[in-house]
Amino acid sequence: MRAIMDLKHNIRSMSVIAHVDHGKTTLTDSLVQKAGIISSKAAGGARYTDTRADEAERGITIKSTGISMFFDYALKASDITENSYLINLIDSPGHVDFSSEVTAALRVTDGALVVVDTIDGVCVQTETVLRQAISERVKPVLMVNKVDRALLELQLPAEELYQAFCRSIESVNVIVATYNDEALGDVQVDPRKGTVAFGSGLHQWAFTLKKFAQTYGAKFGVAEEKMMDKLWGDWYYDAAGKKWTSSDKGGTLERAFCQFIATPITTLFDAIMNEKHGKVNKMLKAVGVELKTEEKELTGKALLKRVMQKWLPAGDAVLEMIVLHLPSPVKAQGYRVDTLYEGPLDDATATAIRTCDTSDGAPLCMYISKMVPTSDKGRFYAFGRVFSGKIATGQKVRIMGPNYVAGKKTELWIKNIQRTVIMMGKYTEQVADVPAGNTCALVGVDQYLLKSGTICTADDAHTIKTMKFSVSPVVRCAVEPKNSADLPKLVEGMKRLAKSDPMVLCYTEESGEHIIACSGELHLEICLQDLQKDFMGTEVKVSDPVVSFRETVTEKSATTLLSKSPNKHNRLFVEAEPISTELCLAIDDKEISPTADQKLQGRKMADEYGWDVSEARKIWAFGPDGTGPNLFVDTTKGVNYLLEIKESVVGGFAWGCQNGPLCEEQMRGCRFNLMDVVLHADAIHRGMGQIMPTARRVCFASLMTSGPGLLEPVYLVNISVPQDAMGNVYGVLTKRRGHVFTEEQKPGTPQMTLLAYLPVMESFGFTADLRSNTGGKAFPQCSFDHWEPMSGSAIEEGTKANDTVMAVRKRKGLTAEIPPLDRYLDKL
Amino acid sequence: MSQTTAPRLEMNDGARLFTDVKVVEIVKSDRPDEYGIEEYYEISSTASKIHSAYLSSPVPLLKIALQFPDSLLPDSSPVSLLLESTLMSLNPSFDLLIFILGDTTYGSCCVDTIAAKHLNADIVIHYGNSCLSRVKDIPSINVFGRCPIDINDLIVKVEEKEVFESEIKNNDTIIVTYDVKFSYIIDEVVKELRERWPKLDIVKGDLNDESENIQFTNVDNNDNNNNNNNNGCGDDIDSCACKNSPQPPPPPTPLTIPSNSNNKKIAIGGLLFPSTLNLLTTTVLHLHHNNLKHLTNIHMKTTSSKTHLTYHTISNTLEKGVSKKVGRQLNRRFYLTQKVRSTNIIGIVIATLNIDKFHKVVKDVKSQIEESGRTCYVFCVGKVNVAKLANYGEVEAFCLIACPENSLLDSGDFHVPVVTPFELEIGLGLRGWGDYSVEFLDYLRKEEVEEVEDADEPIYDVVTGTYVERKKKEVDLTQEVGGGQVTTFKSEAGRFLNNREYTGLESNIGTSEVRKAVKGQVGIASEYDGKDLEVETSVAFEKTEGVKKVVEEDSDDSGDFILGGITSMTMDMETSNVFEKTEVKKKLEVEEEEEDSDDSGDFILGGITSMTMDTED
Repeated sequence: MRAIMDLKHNIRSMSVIAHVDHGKTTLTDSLVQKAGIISSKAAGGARYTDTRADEAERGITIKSTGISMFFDYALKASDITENSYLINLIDSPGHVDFSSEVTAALRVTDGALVVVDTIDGVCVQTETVLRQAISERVKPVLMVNKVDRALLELQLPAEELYQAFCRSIESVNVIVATYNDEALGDVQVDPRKGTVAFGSGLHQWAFTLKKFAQTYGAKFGVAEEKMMDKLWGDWYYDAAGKKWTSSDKGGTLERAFCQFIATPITTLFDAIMNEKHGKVNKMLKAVGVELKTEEKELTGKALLKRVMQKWLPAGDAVLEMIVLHLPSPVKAQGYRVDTLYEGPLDDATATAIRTCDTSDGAPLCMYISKMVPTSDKGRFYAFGRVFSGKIATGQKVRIMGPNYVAGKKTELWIKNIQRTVIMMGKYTEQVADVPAGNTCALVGVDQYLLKSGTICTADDAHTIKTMKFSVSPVVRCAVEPKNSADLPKLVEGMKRLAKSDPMVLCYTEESGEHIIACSGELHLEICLQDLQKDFMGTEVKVSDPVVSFRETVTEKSATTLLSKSPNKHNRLFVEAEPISTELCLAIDDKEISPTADQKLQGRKMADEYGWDVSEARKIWAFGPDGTGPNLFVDTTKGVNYLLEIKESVVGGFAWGCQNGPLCEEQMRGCRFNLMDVVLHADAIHRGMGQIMPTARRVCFASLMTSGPGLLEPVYLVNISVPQDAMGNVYGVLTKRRGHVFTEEQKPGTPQMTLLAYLPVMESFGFTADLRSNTGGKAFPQCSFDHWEPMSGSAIEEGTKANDTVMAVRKRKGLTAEIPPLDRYLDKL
Repeated sequence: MSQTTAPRLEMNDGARLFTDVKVVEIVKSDRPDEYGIEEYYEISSTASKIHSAYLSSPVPLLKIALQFPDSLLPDSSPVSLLLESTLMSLNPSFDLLIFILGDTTYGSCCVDTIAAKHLNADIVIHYGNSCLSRVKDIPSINVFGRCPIDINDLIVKVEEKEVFESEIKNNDTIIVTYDVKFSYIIDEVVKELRERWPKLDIVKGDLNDESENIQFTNVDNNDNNNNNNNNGCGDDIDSCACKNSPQPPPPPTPLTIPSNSNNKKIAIGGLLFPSTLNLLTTTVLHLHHNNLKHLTNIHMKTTSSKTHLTYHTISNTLEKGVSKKVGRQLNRRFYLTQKVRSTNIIGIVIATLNIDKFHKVVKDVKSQIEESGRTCYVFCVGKVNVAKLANYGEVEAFCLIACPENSLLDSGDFHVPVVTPFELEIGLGLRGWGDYSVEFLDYLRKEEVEEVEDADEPIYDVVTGTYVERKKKEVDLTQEVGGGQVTTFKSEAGRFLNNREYTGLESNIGTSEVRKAVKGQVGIASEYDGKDLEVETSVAFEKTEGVKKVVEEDSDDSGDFILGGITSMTMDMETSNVFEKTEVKKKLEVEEEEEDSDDSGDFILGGITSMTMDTED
């Protein structure tokens, strides 16, 4: 195994990606079986790469699992000297909640095996992961899976089967075309090129056109490539005229694909399932499959599986696609380096990455994409990909955290690598060193990196870019130990949990609540289970899901608000007004940012958002965190000492934005205009202690008098559902304050795709509710979309907004009523 | 309820101070109606105590300071008169001066030694609720007052809940804690409980330890403790405070960990329990009147205990379990300790000057902060409030050194965490979370924490959920940029100032004319005396925005200075190091001296000899 790691042209690093339940793990089994790790009998049901107990139990993949395997494959090419191939495969989860695992997997691989269900076709998550693959410059190949279902359950005739295949391939190509990246070259999948395979993971068979082209090519004495061309698309073979034609001659001819590939398969299926033994035996002889004596006893599906497995082994087809069409690290890193490396693209490390330099003097660069728990509690393997050089046990390296800046000393540790191991699914194997192009795991760096990081040797090396996730942690709940003496244990557990998952966010709120934030309900469930069972060892009290809200203003202040400093000698006059939703988004997207040039940005804000230029240039601060979508604008004229108190005012504003007056949630979309300031002439009486709390109070006062409102987060829900169950979907949505805004039918199917908005607050239990109401036919996928104002004023009793404010206050243990205005407002 | 008129100071828009005559309600004191002044304030036993102490060591003029909390202040004058007459009746030759202390320096739960010493009192009598902190330097008597309790009802309620049955089975200990108002009757309560549940191991908290100065007039007999006799009252007070009072105060307690006898005790909410107590197998029964802080402290300290019972004497109800509020507060405190971890500059705020061993605590805290590679400043700001602490923008966390009942500031309004020394230690990783406590005694009892194997590892900051780098204690110059060469000087506060947009007035060194500092304006903030206005002075004081009061500790601690050992107070100004370092020392001005000294009998203005500027409008 180690020897082959040096053959960088013979390495393929790839991940298996798809929508949930399209058969990634099952298909992976066929490769694992081919590598001889599991028996052919077990393959298809073993789910070898589902290493966790709960994965097996639920039948879904939760964590991505890496496995390195090697195969023999004869490929005639100039730079290949050996016929052995090393495949570093990562099986990824398909559920949307675990999208971050997919991102982490794609980062360290060069190719992606996209699996699509023949019947379901391309689904939401297929699109998401494919898009991510392309943005990571990962080259896709396609596997159309579950053909057995199409044949056995739906009994599709050959032509319809072809149409189903076509639809899947086209949908994939549409996505590929939409997000196409020129540097990646042409990555459209095409059966004629051999980048599409068809088959069944469960029954362990698959084929590419190449396989049949070879068979028929040999039989008819035609060149393999020519045959492949004819086996797909509108080509018909006129047996009578002995020539190929592109028209079906009024329906008399059968499409070549159907005639030569689909029909033989359907006939065989038919024969076996109907137990026509004589026919079966004849056919088996024709395709050259010999069954052992005990195998001849089998009937029905078991026999079918065995026959197909022998005739068209899935491992072979998939392996062929991987070896032929996925790039080696040398090829891939040539174009991936631009999107990977943070630093200048001509420094030593970048050059080494580009050429996948494994020579002795080459600078090391490795990216750690995730942490894998070890059997040793609390310790983790740092799993990642070596991009250049070699990483060896005992080597002294620079460990750089995600916030490391070249030349600085923050988040930089110079340490020795304790051990290097390669991941083999459930097992690991220790090796002395690992050269570039491979994935491996390290022991002894987990205490420096939380989730990800870069490991280098060159002093001037920059980091590999941080991964960008397609989901964000929006589902949150608070946990609390049963006994408060266990708090440190909980914190340790949270740390381990945060490490083990690329997405989960564990933090503590001002109120002391410990929050676990995940990307979805299932994710949350898994995280809580891991926390209690593995990382903490004791049970915790789990609160109801926590939703974060935003406090805002809905109208411009009617009057100017005044607050006086504690010593009454300084006064701040402020007015509040709402910021447009568009501008908030622009600030979120950093199009408008505090670091930009004030002059240019002022012009932009005037042109695009209708601001007064001079005011836009006098924005004192963004908040919270100095970047958020609330603004403090100085609109005063000729005030003495104003500059001197700016910092204090900004401090008070930032503090106020973080915890608003209504229920201590962040503010959003509030603009505060400083109208006038009266200051004491003596500096000692207008110090920070006088101004900062006053600035906060005056912001609160103006928020509360300018139509205070509450914003709630809203999901965009994508629901695919058969037409007949649609009514129930509407029912469930309406009950939960959601509404559908588009409805689209999938061509050729009764499947509808609905797009709806659903408040996050109402989304808990939505999936389960929807499933039970539609008999499991509807499949929803939620992602955060926008902030929506809640109806009514937050300070008027009986409104939805007010009820929510009260509920949040209760949860946080605040007083039962919103603080009265006179706590913040002073009289002249 | 009678009403009367009293002059009241009003702020007119913050600009002018004027007097106004307003109708003010006379407030009734908190004393329950069933108790008379004599009984509630324990006049006779207090008087006899003072008397016998006086006999053993007479002084020419006995000065007695009475300290009342605001809620009992309406009773102050009858009490002082009654006490005076009682003392006189004991010994007509008494030369007495009894006076009442007004506002307290920090909290009304502590004996205000500072105010007492200012007035040169020989003894302080502290009335009302007490945090039971040990004071030093001045003899004091605590009178807690009384509050009725229905013992039978308590027993009935406990029976109803059937909680003690399992305790008997498990052989658990019941500890009884109580508001100090019940100390007069606690022995009776415990006796009744023991009679009702003879199999149960019931331990009550003791008020006293071997502190020299405090005595408790309420405790009638010292049946079950081995404390010395100053625990008792009446005839048995030979070792009480007054013996010491005329003589110089006792030598300050050496700055060490409390003596052995104290180490054997566990303090829960100021009450002492034998150290053999295993909190894990105890049930806490608390008699609660209205002191929520005390209850919270007790519950926070005993979170690991099995069961908590709280008997509310106002509503006569028995509550089982720890209130959600305590759990929440513990979470919040834990959050603060975690927040302290990622700070660089910590301010130590002294909010007590009279609790025994506070020096030791300040010193320990200071060295711990410095050892952890952080910077610390010591502040003494009087009563702590938001505006005062917010003046120090560069300080990222404050460590508040105060008595237990004032230690847990609800820091929602503070812009940075305000923690206790105990919490600070947790935050710095010098102590495990373990049994949370707000008591000095627990703070001084050090805990061994295993060393982290790799001091270089980042720490997990639970506040943000990310890794943060550990503060480095020492800088290895060879690792620095420049490899061993002299590098730039770093100062945390200096760096903060440099990062500020406004860094003070422009200094124009070398370009502007050098002028001598002259006396500036005098007066209060709302109105300066405009006569001596000089431009130069206002410039000189413009820069005092970032003034820090640095309280220096005097090591010899002679004990006769009123501020508990603080011998000097400077007001240093620190500017960022880009500017030349200037030090402006401002001496505390004593205005009276100047005005008093010039002429005493020149004007005959009805005997008025001096006039200060700040009281007149």
